[in-house]
Amino acid sequence: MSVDTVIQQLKTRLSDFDAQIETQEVGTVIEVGDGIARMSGLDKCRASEMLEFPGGLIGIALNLEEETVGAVMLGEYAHIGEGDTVKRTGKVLSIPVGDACIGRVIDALGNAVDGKGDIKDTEDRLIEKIAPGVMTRQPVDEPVQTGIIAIDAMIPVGRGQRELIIGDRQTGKTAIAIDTIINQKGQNMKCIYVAIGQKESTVARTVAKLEETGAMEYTAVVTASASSASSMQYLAPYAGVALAEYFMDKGEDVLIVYDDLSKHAVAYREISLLLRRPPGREAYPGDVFYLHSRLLERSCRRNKEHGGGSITALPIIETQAGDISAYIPTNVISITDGQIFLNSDLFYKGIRPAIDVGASVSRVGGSAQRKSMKKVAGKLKLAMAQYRELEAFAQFASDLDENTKKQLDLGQRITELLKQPQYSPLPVGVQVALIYAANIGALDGIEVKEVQNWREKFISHMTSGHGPLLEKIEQGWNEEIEGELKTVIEDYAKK
Amino acid sequence: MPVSSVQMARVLHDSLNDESNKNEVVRLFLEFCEEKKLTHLLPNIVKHLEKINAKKIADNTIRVYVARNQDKDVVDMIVDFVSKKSDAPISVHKDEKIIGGFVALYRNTVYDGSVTKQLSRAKEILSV
Repeated sequence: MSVDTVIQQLKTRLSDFDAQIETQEVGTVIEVGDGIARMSGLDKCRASEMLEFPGGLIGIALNLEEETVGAVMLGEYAHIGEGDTVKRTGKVLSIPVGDACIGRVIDALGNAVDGKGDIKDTEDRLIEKIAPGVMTRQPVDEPVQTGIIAIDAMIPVGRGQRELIIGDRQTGKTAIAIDTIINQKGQNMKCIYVAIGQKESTVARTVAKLEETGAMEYTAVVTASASSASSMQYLAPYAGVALAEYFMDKGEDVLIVYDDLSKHAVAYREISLLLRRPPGREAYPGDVFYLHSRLLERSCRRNKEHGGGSITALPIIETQAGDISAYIPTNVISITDGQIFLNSDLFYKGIRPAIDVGASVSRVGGSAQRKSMKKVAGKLKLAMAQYRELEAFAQFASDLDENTKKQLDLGQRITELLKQPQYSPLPVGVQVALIYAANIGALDGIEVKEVQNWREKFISHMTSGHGPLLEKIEQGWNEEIEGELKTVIEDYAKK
Repeated sequence: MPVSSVQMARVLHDSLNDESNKNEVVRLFLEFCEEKKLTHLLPNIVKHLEKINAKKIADNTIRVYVARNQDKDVVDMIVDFVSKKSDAPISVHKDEKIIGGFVALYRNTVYDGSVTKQLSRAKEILSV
């Protein structure tokens, strides 16, 4: 390119440039500490507006009071002092989003933190946005396959649903979410994993696992680790959902995992107390319900006229000693469309995933379940419900009738069948075949401790020799398919 | 309810806005202090009053930052641009970082006509 061309291009670019005097409203820092700043001036400051502190540090105005403005600072604030000037930006907090975010690890402000360079080709999106209205939505009618047999059969999740994963620490909550992400390969789904207040090492391990399984090809990770400021932890889920909305607006289906909202509530409590907002129950501020409801309401299934995309949310809540009646768990339970309750007793008994089927529910997912699964799962749910009832009773009874014994045996075998190792999600066809086998009594002659072994062999038999049948099962269910599956199971049993 | 010297200073400062009866306000204020046995607060009240006054003056001062010494006419033009009808005090400061032009600060508003600002705007246009 010649010098003349360069000069010509510069001239063209600068043709619109006009020297102007820029006016900007400013305030003065009167108090700073614990990530919070209080400023005087800034009379026209708007709620959630970005403020610029010296050194380019950004803050968000959260408290607009009569004479002062309270803001949280998003970064290192040691250089800020009393009397410093703060500028209004006139902009509400937004983050850069785009297709390039997929496969990357970003912070709550959209900056890449994975050392793979800046994320290019992005557009800015508001972090806080009103959830889509009633007229733009449609009922949940398409399933999200988690690949976990107990969930897909008994607590099905649909695209656009909010299904809470709740349980004590170390009961496998994250494992369920990660397995679900891994299972979305080839399912036309973008995934976003939001890590809130987790150890950096845990996030690194999760990202490594997602990379190893090829899930990072369709997944973005938003992280605000335990070492991040509480303001970043507070913003991370909103940043995640802003990215999810970008894909939903393009008509795509998105799965978003918030891991976890208990830590998110704690970060918000910290900010609120520092801003001197009045504390309520468990010292949480009065708007802690709205904190989560406005986040989870942004998950929805859009109708065709509005692009047809969806956001499925899997929020995670950590309970203390199984207490689901604490403040934050009850709030989130009431917001979501069902919950998967993980029980530590089951976990230590070796029943993994440790899903307490009795306390778990999916309020809308049933209508999204595949036909074949719906057909076979009904019997499974009933058998498990009867087993739970009889199990407690059988501990005190010494002499049981034949029918009760039969039901207990079946329950034990199904419990074994539903055990599933981590990072090994199953396709729907295999899940249906396993449940159908249990329904027609294929497990009756097998010792309980041998069920796992049988299961593994049956899975490899089905996947290696009956691929077309499994595909047919995934597509639908009729007498012909049922007959074919029955023959395959009976032939396998004879062997 | 205990009364703080800051509150007392604020009340006195607001009451002194009316030029016509300043002496009367001060007399009544002193009487009130004696009656309520608050005279021990007077030294602190005076201190806060000075602070409030200094802040008010600072808030009302037009601060002009220029890169090099300017003629009075130039400064007057800047002040005229910032506030046409104001008789606010003016303070002129030298700041070489702005390269040229001026930056003025008056009542929580910054008027930035500096060369640094224009260069950063040009940079933004060229880097798009």
